[in-house]
Amino acid sequence: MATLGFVARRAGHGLRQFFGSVILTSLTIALTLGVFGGFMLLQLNLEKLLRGWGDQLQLTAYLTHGVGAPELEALLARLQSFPEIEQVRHTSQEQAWRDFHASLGAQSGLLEGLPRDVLPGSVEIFVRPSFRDSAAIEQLAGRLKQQKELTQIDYPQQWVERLSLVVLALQWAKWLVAGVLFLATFFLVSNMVRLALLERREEIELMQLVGASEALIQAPLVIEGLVQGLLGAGGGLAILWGVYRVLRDDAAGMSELVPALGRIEFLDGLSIALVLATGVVLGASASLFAARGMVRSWHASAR
Amino acid sequence: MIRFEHVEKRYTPSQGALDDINLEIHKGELVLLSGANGAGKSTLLKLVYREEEPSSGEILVEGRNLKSFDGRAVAQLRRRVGLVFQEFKLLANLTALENIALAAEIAGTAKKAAQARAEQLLGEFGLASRRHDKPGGLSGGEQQRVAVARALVNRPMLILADEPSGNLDAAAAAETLRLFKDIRQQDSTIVIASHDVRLFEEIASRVIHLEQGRVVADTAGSGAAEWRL
Repeated sequence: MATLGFVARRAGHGLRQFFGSVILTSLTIALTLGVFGGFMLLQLNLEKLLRGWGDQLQLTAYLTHGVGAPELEALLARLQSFPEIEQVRHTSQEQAWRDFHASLGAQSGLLEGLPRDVLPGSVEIFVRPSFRDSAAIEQLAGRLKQQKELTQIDYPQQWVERLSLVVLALQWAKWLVAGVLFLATFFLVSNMVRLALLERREEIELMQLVGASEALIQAPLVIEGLVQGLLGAGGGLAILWGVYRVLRDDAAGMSELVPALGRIEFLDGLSIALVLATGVVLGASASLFAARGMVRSWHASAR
Repeated sequence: MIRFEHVEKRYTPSQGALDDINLEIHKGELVLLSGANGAGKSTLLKLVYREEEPSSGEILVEGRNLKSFDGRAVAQLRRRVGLVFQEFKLLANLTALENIALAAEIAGTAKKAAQARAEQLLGEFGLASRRHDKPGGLSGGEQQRVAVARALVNRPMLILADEPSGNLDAAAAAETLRLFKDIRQQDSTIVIASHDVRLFEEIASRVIHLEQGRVVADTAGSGAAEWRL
């Protein structure tokens, strides 16, 4: 118990005495974890976007110009008979215009002067859950393209697949960048700790002479590294939160045009815990690495 | 208590510090190691607290061969040895009280008990009013008294002092001598390495003279009459 108290006091003493170095080390860790957290934030939101699109699984088929009411009724009946299709819903040119006008909100003045039939009529097609895989959707889209009343088929599956690749690439990039950054930060922080240790050489050598074991000398240094890592991780999350707030506010202005942008989310609890834990491990391990090397070399050189 | 058996210490093949040292220091002795600079006095002390290791030969402390000591055992040994250095080795950013208490806390004493013991020693050494002063604000003699107090804080079985009066003026050196007299009365085993034979000879029970790394004389000191085994 006395030893634990001693270690904690020495760590507190070191943090106060080398405050400048503590701030520098924490800032370095903050920047690294800010970048890492940024990748996590991007990945999290893209995955969420993907899930949203995947859940919808709705195809939009645009009508050729001049399709009359009887032909349209026949088309809808035909489509409804497809085994893959759960429901169809017709959107007229007039309705498409009104929807677009409403979605533009304050910017709807931009549409002034345009003819009201500029947008094509369309049919929204909802797919049964058992057919919501890429092969079935692809097959259905092919069959829809054969309908002479339909001119173009849009379906999110194509985008889901493309975006999935982007997310996968992002995931790899995140670990690649994180690996390089963590390694660079590890050596940078351990060199900063080395510099701080040089200033404490006299103190450490005296502690060795009066009977401090290697563990007793290293423990306060590791705790100092741990605290700096935690401060750095907290700083990194604060930077990320600031960036997130700016992005969220900017995106909110565009959310009527692109709804997904209005729902940007911050890191969840687990991700925040991961960033904090990474900071702690990075700070503590870099300190231990530096302390072990230096204290042992001083010990050896004393012989 | 301490036995050297054919101890040799070489820093390089051509640079020898100690050559075939055979001696035994008994419990309660106050031994003065004398000799010119470079005679091997400091090296001999460093071998006892394992700051240096012998090139050959054996050193036994309380019957245990230092060769068998791992890092943990060396730390344990040093907690039972009080060290006094010529350059005091006080930490500039700690007060006199904290410098003394640090050694006790490293030995596992709780903070309050360590501070109480440090306060007691500062009182005994006439430094009670300077306990919150940092080394920079103390005279050389006061710093040495703090260093001796630190050496005594864990009630060591052995005190090793390397040129304890080397950086002091005549008055402060005399003060240090008085301190060692007081310590001696507490029955501690003390080894002092000093080129100032005249100063410490009067309290030493034994004087070992070194020249070029060899023991050339081992005689009773003026304080031998007071030596109690």
